[in-house]
Amino acid sequence: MAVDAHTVSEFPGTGAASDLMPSRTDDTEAFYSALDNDGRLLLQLCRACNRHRTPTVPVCPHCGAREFTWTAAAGTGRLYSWVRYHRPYLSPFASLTPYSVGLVELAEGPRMFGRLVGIPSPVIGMRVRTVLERWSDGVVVPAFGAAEEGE
Amino acid sequence: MNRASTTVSVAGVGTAGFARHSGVSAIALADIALTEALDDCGLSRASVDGLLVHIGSPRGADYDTLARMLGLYVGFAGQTWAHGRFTGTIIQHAVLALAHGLAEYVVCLATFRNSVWGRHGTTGFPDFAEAIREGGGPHAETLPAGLAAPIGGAAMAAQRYMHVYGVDAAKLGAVALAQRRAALQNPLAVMREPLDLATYLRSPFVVEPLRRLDCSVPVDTAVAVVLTRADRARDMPRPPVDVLGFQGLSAGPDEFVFGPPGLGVHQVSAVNRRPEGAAQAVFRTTGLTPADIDTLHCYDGFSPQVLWTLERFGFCPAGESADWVQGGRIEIDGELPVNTSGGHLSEGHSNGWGQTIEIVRQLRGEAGPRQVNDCQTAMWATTFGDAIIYGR
Ligand SMILES: [Zn+2]
Repeated sequence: MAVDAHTVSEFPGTGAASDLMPSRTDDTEAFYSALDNDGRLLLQLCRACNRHRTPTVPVCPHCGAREFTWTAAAGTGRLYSWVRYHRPYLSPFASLTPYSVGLVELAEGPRMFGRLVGIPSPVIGMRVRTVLERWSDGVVVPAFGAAEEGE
Repeated sequence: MNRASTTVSVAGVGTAGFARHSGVSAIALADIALTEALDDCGLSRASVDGLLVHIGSPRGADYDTLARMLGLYVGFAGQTWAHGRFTGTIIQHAVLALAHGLAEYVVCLATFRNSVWGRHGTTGFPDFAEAIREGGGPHAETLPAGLAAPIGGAAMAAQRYMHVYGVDAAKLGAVALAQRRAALQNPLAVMREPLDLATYLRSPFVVEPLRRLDCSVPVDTAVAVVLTRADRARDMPRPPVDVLGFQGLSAGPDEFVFGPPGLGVHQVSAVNRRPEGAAQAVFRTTGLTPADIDTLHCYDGFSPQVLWTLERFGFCPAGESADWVQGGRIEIDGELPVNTSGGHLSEGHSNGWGQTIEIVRQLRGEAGPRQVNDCQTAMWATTFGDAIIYGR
């Protein structure tokens, strides 16, 4: 299934995403470079048990198989849980506080954390879609906004 | 069958107390706690031949530094990762070491000075790096998403839990209120102002849905616990407190550290649940049931963890704990007194060591105004799945 690249907007906070990222490894490079360069959110699809997964890991946590392919996430999902930070722990988010972070169950199955953008009153179960944000150092980070009608 | 565990007892306990700002080093705190614990059981430092340390550097001090600085010569030592959740593991390792003859007198030592560090998980502090290790932190920290600090994962689990089971803030507040009422009877507790529901509900959100009064109070403290074989403990000054049985910390794809199995937080299954209640090893191996426990002590870095521990260990059914704790049921004269020292929420965040010495004091009958009537069994249990049952 062909999936279009997602819209990339500018992260409104201050600072470099690379200061907050886990170091990139051979296992994770494809995931991050697809985000930064193509605006695509990739998921690993296990060749053995046919389940999608994220975050990127070299071994399937469901069945232990090592073989997988990359698939592009449709970008839609439902809000599974969320929190609102009333105190900043991380300096890049200080100017955005209070800000919300969601746990989103993607259409493909895995759950992913992302900042909630333009959702003043999050409701568990609401439909959301991926909105990627490019930070000042060029790193692209997945976030989520409210889905439009029909998504 | 944890047959070996029936042969080990707590012989002595000591603490440097709980202070927002102690003004003394982690080593000095450890020395105070160790001195009190050895006095409590009539031992000299020369008798100690085993040392287990929880919370090493930088918040505390590592086992080798402590042995050198405190003048201990040990032939058995161990140390766990500098996280709160290893209290039970440390005690379990002591029991195993004693049962297998690795040592005769093991000191379990936790010392840490939080007042010199910033809020846990904040940019720029020494423990910040763990939030970006192995693709994310141990409490689901995902920093580029803004999900930071242990409270982030706990709040995410709490929001889902409250949604699924229809728990409102007022019901959650019963946990903080009960533990504060207990702390009013504990001269060592740092939070000793009476607390009512209106005050709780006015408490500001830190990471919504968790409020400041749902969060433990960071303190400086040290606790020392001396364990030995039960036959030796019976000849020592204080009444021995026996380790009746235990089960270890759980981890794996169906476990998220700050939420109950089956809730589905992070990548955890929303279906699979681990064995619960009386089916768990700690009950099977001791032949006890939740109804046999006189007082429960649990890890309460955040107030919902008390609810999840009650459910995980079968004190009430899944999803019913918020109703179950209403009406004083978990208070000192209630059906199941919980965290009678005030716990992390009110005594101060001791990573479970304050509760451990409280268990010993309750079973010795030394708890004064907060003494649980005819206390024969006491349990340590956590959201993380580990547990210890103590008895006298
Ligand atoms: Zn698989």
